[in-house]
Amino acid sequence: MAELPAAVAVLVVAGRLPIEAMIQGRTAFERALSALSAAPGVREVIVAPQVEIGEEVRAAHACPSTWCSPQASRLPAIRSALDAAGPSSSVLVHDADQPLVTPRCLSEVLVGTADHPAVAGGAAVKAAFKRVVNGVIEETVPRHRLVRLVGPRAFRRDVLLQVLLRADAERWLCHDEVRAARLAGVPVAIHRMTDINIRVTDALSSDLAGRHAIGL
Amino acid sequence: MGTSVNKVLLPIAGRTVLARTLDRFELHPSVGRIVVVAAEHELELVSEIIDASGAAKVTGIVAGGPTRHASEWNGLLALAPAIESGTIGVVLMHDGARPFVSSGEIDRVIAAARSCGAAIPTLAVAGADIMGVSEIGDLEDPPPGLHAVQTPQGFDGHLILAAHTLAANDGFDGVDTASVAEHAGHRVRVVQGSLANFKLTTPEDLVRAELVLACAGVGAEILQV
Repeated sequence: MAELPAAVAVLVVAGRLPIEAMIQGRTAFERALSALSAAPGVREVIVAPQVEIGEEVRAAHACPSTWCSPQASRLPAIRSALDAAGPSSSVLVHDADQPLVTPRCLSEVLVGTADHPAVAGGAAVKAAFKRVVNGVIEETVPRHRLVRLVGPRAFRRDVLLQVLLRADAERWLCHDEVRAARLAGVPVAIHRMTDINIRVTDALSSDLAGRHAIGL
Repeated sequence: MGTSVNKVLLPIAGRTVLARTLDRFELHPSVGRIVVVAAEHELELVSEIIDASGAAKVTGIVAGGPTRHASEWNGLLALAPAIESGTIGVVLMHDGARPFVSSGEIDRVIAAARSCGAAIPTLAVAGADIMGVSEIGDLEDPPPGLHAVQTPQGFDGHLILAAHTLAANDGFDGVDTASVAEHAGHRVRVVQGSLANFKLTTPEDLVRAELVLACAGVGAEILQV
């Protein structure tokens, strides 16, 4: 395994649900923050909210994390986090609504930046997929040619910063850093993941994550 | 799926997945008979579940093969005489692990299979979650027009029997029934699937299914077990 780059971790909070959803006694946000803080290679965690977060929540988690001011959308939120971060060679980006990520999984994605400018966690697809043209199947797409993006992403910091600057300057209609990197011509490697990484988006998925947190 | 027991034999909200799936076809007015394909070592248990379910349309329980493709072929062979005699017009291939298929979805597949010969329900892939993988393992754009496949997949009986026979002669092993029809050169039409018709693949799918049933307050002819 390559040496772990020193990284800043950016925890994106896109809405209030991760702050409020309880997953077996801890909020989704707390679980994600805890995993990032414990991930080998991560030197500091910057919280990048896209909504106003109450002072009591911010105060409760002021250490070990640093909070940025809310930004209207994802890419400016990540940019704001980078501006607030101390020195690092790599950046780990994760969403607070994916609370079951493990420190090991995070560091596995992070280590990929030693060899690649950008790395995204991806899981094997389970379903069969077809390419459809005018309502008729054109071909069956082999499963190994597809991946389901899940969980953390990692970038070389200088690469991500250039991508974000360009996205802003050229007003890209793009709300995802992986998509922005690809638009900028940055190759994104895939780290195959098996971790359960349920996204908590509603009461159903919150309940599901809670059951999974205790091993069903 | 992290358990030694076949998921379709497990209960969700007090009734097995298999029984719940059978209910959907048992209650559908266009479905005349059901053949269940199951692993040989599970035939007895499957038979007990079918008996207890009250599914009167089940006319056969067939031992499956080592692959999905082989199991479909075994099920189809059980229906071959009725297909050849014209008693059966349309054959539906369904996953036993999809207990939430709706009557409307079954209707759409049957109607399209009758008019076009082959039809399957799909969901167009939306958003950026599903991506393509390049030859060197980097992300790339997903193929245009990408759809996720569901079941039941419906076919003219003669068409799919001939297509499976061709596949057997060619040594072709399809990932689903539609690919067998594709291999034979047939056009397969897609109809609108639904998110509700999800397949129970993982332990969390079973939990999700229980939650769906709790929230809802509710309790082809070949059924792939």
